[in-house]
Amino acid sequence: MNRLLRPLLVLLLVLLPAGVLSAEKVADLPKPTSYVSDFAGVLSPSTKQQLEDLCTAVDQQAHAQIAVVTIKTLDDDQTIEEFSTELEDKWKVGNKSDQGVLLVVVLNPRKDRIEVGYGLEGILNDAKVGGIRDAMKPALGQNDYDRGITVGAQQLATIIAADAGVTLSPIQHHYRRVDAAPQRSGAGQIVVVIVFILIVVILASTGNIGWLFVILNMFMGGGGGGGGRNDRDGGGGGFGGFGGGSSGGGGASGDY
Amino acid sequence: MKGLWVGLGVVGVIVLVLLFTGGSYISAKNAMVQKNEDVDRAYSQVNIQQQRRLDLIPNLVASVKGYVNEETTVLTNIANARAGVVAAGSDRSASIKANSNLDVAISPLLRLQENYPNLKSDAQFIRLTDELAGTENRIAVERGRYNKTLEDYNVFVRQFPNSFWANIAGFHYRDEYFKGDPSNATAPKVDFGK
Repeated sequence: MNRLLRPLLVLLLVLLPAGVLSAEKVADLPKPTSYVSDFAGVLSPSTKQQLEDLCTAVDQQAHAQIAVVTIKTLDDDQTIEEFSTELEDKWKVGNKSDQGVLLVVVLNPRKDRIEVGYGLEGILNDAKVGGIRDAMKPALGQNDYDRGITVGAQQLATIIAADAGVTLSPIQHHYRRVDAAPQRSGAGQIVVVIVFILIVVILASTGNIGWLFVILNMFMGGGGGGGGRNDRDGGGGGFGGFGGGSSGGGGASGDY
Repeated sequence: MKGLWVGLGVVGVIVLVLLFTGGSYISAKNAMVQKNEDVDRAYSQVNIQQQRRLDLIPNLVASVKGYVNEETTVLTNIANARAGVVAAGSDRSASIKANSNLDVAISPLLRLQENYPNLKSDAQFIRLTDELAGTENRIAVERGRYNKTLEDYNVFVRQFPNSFWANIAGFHYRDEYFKGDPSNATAPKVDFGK
């Protein structure tokens, strides 16, 4: 499966720059592969690496996630606020206690937004975030996206780290090969299925059809919540996926 | 002997039908309880943000007052709308209506700096408008989510066979959506002659 997917993914990445000429919709954006998703292609490789390191340090040491996203244009009827909330709904930047921040920069119209997850609203209130935006404005205004975004991300990281009571130390690169998620053994799955069938049969024979629906519901509900990050991969590997954060439209946005 | 078997068969069918009906009722009712609770939770989320805005207004008005004494209509409109929200209390449809009035009343406040350039350099005003803009966006987001949850509930309650069970269990269609400002439905008049 993985072997088949990888070439496809590479192909997608190669073809992506051709695709972004049209307006970006959240649904069309690929899955994030790192903290920095430079869909607009305005960041230099070195800045990207710096930001990546910074976000990794924040994630590992202060346990909050920062995602940087640049896109070229917005879909016609969508405001940057709606775009950010929708993206957060899809990517779920942040950990289980919703400590995540989304830094979005749009090239046309020239707008930027910092969307704060529920868990960080206490330390990153709108006024503070507005201040960070003001600090980014001069550089962004001169189209110096490298500097502008770095300033913003650094200020966010500093505030988050200060609240978590840590000083961010530079991360070491191990380039460890990230193992694929451990596969559930075949035997285990068979047991689960057998138990499930047994329960169904017992409930059906004792006439508790109502409970059958309840249990079915439980199984359905339980299945949907997946996609969390596997913390065991967190050693030195860097980006391990976003982990289930959510936001309610907190933060600040505007023109630059 | 044959009659006994037929009788047993009929009883079996009846029992089966009863089981199915009972099961359908129970599962529908449980789902409705859940969805009803979801709607209330989503609404309380909206309410939290509206409360936050309500608390923010006095500060914002205070910070503006020093600059714009003559802009009384804007400020009195806001004060009236705010009083309306407070008066509406926890009655949901009244509160929704009062809050939409406040939406309309508060929007000129964010544009005051266009007419009063001095406000732009007032740090406190800038921070407070950031807070207000952020809160307005939060309200919009939570209202959108609330509307979606409510729609989910309403669709469920009106679908067959849930509609049947809903009547028995006392779950009804709830027309408690947040709607846009009705005055936006008419196109604004732009007069360049002024």
